[in-house]
Amino acid sequence: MKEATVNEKVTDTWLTKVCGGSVRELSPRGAYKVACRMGRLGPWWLRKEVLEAAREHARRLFGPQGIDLSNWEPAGRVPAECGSCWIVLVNKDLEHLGLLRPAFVLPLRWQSGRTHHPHLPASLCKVADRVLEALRQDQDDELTTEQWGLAPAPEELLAKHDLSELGWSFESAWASLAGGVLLARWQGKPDATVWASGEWKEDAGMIEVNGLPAKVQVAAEFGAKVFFVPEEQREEACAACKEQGGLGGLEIEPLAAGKPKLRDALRDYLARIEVPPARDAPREIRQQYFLRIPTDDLVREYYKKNILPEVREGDSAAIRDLRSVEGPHLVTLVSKGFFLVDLAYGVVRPSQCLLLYNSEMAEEAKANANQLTHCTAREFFQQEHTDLVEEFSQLIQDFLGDTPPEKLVVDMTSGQRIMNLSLYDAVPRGCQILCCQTEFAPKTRRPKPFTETFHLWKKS
Amino acid sequence: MNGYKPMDEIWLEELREALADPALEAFDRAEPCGEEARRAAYNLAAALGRCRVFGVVIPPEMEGTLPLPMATVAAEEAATVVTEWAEEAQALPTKWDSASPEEADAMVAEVVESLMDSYFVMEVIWECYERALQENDPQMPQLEQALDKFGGAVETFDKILQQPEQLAILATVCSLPLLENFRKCLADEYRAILPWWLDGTLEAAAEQVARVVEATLPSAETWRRVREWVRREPRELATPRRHRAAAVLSVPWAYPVAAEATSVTPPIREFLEWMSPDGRWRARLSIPSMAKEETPLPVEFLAGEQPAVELQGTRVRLAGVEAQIDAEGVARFVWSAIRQAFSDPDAELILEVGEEPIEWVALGPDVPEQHPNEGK
Repeated sequence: MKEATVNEKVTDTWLTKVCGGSVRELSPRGAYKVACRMGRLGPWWLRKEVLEAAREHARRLFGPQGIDLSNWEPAGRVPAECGSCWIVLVNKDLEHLGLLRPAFVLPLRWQSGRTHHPHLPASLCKVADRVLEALRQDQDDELTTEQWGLAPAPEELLAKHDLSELGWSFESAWASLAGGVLLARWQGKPDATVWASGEWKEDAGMIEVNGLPAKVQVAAEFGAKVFFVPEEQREEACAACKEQGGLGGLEIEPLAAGKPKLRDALRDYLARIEVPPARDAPREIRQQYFLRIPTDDLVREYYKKNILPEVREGDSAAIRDLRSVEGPHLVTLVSKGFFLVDLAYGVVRPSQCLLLYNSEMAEEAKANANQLTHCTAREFFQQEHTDLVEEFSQLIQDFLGDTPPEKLVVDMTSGQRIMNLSLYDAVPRGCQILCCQTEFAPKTRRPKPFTETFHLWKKS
Repeated sequence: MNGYKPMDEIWLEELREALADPALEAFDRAEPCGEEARRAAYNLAAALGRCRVFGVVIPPEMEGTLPLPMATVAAEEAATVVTEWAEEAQALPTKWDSASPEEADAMVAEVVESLMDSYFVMEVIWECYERALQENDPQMPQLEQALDKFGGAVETFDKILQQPEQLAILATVCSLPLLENFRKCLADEYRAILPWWLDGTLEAAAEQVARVVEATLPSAETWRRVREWVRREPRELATPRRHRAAAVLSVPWAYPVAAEATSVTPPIREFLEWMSPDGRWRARLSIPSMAKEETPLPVEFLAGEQPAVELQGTRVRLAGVEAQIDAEGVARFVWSAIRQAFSDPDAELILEVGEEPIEWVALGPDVPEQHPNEGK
């Protein structure tokens, strides 16, 4: 009769029966039998000594090249597809589960439009539901109406194992689960070297978790480069790494304490774990990623590498006309507008650039000048129109020297209105006037990539 | 395909009636299923499954797989029904004792028909599940849950019926032509792996019982002694089971491929085990997930979980292919040789040990296990 059931139900009793005892007393034959019974869970959960002994016995039975034993090597890398997340579990009963690792990993996958897989532990599904609820209460519009279900990682065939009656606690999985579902929603992929363990309580924020020494160790075994822990436990985790020889330079970073919203507590973790969409990713994906990057430095870097080249190669009339200007000289105003200098510079690609700034924008101007090549920053001091026109005229004349005005491109996108109007009056006839309009994201006030519209005309 | 037989028309008619049941309209209206709809879904699954298993040629207008919501409901209903059968099976010995011969025959025949019904339904549900997997149907988890429950109920039902007392009673069905008729009706592909009640288990149990009955008068006292005997000697009733060649023949070939293989399948697919008639030793054959022509098939001979080194040098025959037990208690066969011994996946995979070959008893999953750390 064809069976609908899968491998044996993995309960606490079953695990004690199969994985009890000690590694020291386990024969290769015994290890072989244990590995067979553990199926796909074996490489993830069994101690490497058990798998090694199982392989030894298999080689004895089948000969050195008899069968492929590569799937009895300890798992070394977590799946990192869209929707993937992974949780670290501490073996709290080393006495009775001596053949299991001190800490082990359960790779999972969030799936849109699904319910939780029936083979997952019921307690894990409850934590997953609470994560979703907490994110929705953050007024996260992205998750409010969508259904998300958690499942064992399909590529690892772990769904064959029925874990539904495991009575373990999964509270420390909050951070990983929340990061996983958000990334899945954003269609982003996780970085397999970024790990986290943290429990969230609504009235307390991110709170402490157990078993950090074992967790950081297993993370290092899986090639982790950074591990996020609750802020109060950062020292404890660093000490654990040090005691274990540094664990390959594993960085310990904090999940911020005292934050009322879960997403705020996960901010730095989310920034690290998300693999930036590549240049060939769909525009919408890149746009959404750009708008949620938390730090300006990362934003600039990402824009330059993954968005600007495409914007620059646009086929609008303005862009085509810009390309016809050889060795353009760019003049632009430094303002509070996000990234506008970089945008103008990136599109025009000047041979020389003049940044005009007032005292309020001195710091930004210097930063821009340091980052951009062939770039000079000059401060202006006037505030009234007539005075500004005179001052701008002088600065531009000094900048241009003998260069004909046809090579001058003046960017009018940034700056306060009085500055723009004065600058327009100050620039010589025959120069090119450039203006870029973009949509702005209301929450971040950042320009939305791929909404740039360029206007270019000659001042007559 | 078995082609048309008169019974085919009867089964097709039953399928037609099941499809026409107005209670199935509840699924079109996507409304919650009442009792009638649940029963209608179950009946349709059983009727369709019967046609599948018996190789009935279904006309195109009636052919198809169950829609997933209907299959889910059918599986849930089947779990309920099989659970009721299991409870009745617990009481079978008591009822059988007080039944007339005709009633007793009807009782055991009904049990076998119940087993067949659950078999039919399982085929159809599984068919729907495989389709849902391919299509990545978002409602698949509900079906999986129902299927797990149904499978669990079937497993319990099987276990109860294979208890010595129930098995001895069920074996009396061998006096009827029922089992043979069912076997004859099976489509070719379903003969490859027979369900346990059709694979000779009941016949072997009947033989065991007959040996005891031969020495006594067929009276109530005789049956009382039989019951005492089967309670004392459960292991001997396990002997009728035989493994099938399908376990070996279904192992895929490991062809060399240019691209790197990324399978996550564990290296060992399953064990087949046997026990010596006196219960002193076990033999464990490891079936790999993939094999090449020269891949060995090792059979470990064990006393508890220790190698049966005292059997070193003993001749062993597996499917008629010979080997010898080495100093580590292992007899090695070559997979290709064992494969060549069979053309029929339904053929019996028999292990014989000793100069005068004695057949060892095939073991199923319900034999008590010893923990790997015990007996050291």
